[in-house]
Amino acid sequence: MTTKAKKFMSSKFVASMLSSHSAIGLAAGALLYILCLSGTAIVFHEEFERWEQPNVHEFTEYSPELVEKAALNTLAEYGEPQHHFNMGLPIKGMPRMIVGTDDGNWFIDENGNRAEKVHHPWSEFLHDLHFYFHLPTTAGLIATGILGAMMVGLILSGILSHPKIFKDAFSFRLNRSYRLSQTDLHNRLSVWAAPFHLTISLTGALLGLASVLAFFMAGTYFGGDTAKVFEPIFGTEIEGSKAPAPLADISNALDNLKTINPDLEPWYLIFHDAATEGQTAELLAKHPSRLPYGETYYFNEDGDITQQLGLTNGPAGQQIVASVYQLHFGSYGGIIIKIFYALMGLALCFVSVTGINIWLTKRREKGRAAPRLEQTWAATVWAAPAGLAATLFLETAGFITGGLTTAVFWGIILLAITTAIATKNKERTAYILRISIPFTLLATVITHLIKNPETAFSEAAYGVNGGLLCIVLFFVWRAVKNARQQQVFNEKQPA
Amino acid sequence: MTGIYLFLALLLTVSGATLLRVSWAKPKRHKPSLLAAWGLVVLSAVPWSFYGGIDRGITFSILALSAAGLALLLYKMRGQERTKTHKGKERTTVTNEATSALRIFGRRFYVFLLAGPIALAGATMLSMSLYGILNQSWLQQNSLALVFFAFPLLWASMLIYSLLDSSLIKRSNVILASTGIGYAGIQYFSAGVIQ
Repeated sequence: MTTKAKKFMSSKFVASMLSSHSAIGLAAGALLYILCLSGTAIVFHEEFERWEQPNVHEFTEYSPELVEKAALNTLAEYGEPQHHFNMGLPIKGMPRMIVGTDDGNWFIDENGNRAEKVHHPWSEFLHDLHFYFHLPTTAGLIATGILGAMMVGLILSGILSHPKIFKDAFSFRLNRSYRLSQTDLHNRLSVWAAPFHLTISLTGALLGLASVLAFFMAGTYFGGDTAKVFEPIFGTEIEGSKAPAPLADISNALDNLKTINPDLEPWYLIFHDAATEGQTAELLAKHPSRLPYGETYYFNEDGDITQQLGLTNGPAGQQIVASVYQLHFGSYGGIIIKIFYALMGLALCFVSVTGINIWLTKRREKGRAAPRLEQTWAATVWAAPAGLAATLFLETAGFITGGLTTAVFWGIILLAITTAIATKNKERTAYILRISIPFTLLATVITHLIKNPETAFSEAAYGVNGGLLCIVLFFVWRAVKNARQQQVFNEKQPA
Repeated sequence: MTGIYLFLALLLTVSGATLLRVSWAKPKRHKPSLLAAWGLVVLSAVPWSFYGGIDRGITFSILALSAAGLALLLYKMRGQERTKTHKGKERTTVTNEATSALRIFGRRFYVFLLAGPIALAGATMLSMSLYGILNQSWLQQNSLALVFFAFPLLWASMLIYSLLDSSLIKRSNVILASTGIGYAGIQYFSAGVIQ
């Protein structure tokens, strides 16, 4: 190492950086952990949505005429123009056709008629938790964006406060003191997962804070119109005449799309002021082997493709911004990438937990133990997953829905913290919460099977049920392993 | 053919990660083996790109390196028994500082303001100024993308700096000066640059 580098990474610099790292970690602590935990689960949002309504007709092969028929049927049922009208077309991860109007979304059956309403309350609860912390949307999005930026700060300060980051990349001392093992777990998981963690925190911060920046930029550079800030990247809605006119030719547009590139996967049809003279019609298609979420193709009333937005072939900046959502949620490489994202998300949860654990242990070692904080933290760590599992079970059983689910989740966390402080026994509270998770998940799977016996082994159901059972088995395996270790430990003790 | 690319990509990634482990385990820094290790890792991006497309392939190669590193770490961890001691040594010394509680609160509140609202305002203004600069010669889409990414990075950097364990006056000066520069930039560039 050169003298300059040595000076840059002096012990004073490292200590100072560590102090900054601790301060940010403590400020974000519990909320960051809940954000990571909900993020881990939300990776499988499509799977959960399908699982919540397993009886919906699923298909990936369909004719363009069926799509057109479904659109015309729906519009005819309303009898009046719809300002927002869109259709979700079946794709690999979500093989269901959906129609969305100004007042809700419905599935489309194989005959092109509206079937049951789209209703997946737990997935929505999870979405609102991860995106908005159950706060009003704008405030919530900014809050999660701020947490994302803080996570970026934590990652950068964590890397800078570790002078031997590469040298120690494989050292691990699980069998040393509690603090050392926690520190090693924290550092090693952080280092190896750093590219992933930096990506999701930066993209998360961008998703949350872009609206804040856009608001101020609009005031300064775009005449106060926030939509104009995003227009160069995501295009715009054009307002036109509202006089009735035939719906733009969907069937022809889908056929024309195949002539551009037969590998394109049509995903969404989006209309503004459908079936009016001023309607705009867009076809969003997934491009194979690309990171952007798709490409928007505009088509006219005859179904001719008139323009391409440029999400996959426009300027680099446009393509990068169009890739942010996919990069954040891991929806660009099938189930393997999703599982990897979930595991990395879990690693981030471990990093959050061990970070606070290290700080609490150091405090205790310095004779400044903070028992209430320790109790609160232990309760939060286990109450959050227990709360997610409990709400999933209660929703599946039909006991709660909507706002009540939100209340139950935060109520469980609050109750756990109160109990841990009141009983002054964080181990017992944590144990009860921990043991409740496999039982609740097992009850969820059983309830789901009882309520939906005919779809028990359908593609929509077995993935989530299997995943939940794997979590149950993991908890059982850990319990058995811990019991065995305890037995060996007891046997080694003198009589 | 895709299967071959995948196999080759995995092979290069795992070899790279293993060689990194061997290189870092050496008591003395061994440049050739380190370069070879990183070379393999970089090279793995080629078959990954053939396998999943260029943009996805690069992402895959980074994720695969993380996965390989963690797998090697898990392999090393096996057999290690978790410690039973959950409480470190506890000292009974109690800090007895004479600093007044009000002063501590005041200082902490100011640090909160500096790291939070002030640094956020500073990052916003600097980002907007950056947009003003970039948009003069860059495509608007590229300027916007860079600014959207720069904004959280700038705030995170200012957040770290404002919480460093150094002189509060120095930290304040740097953060406030950055905010001031950002403000001046906005004033300069908002005068009819973008329509």
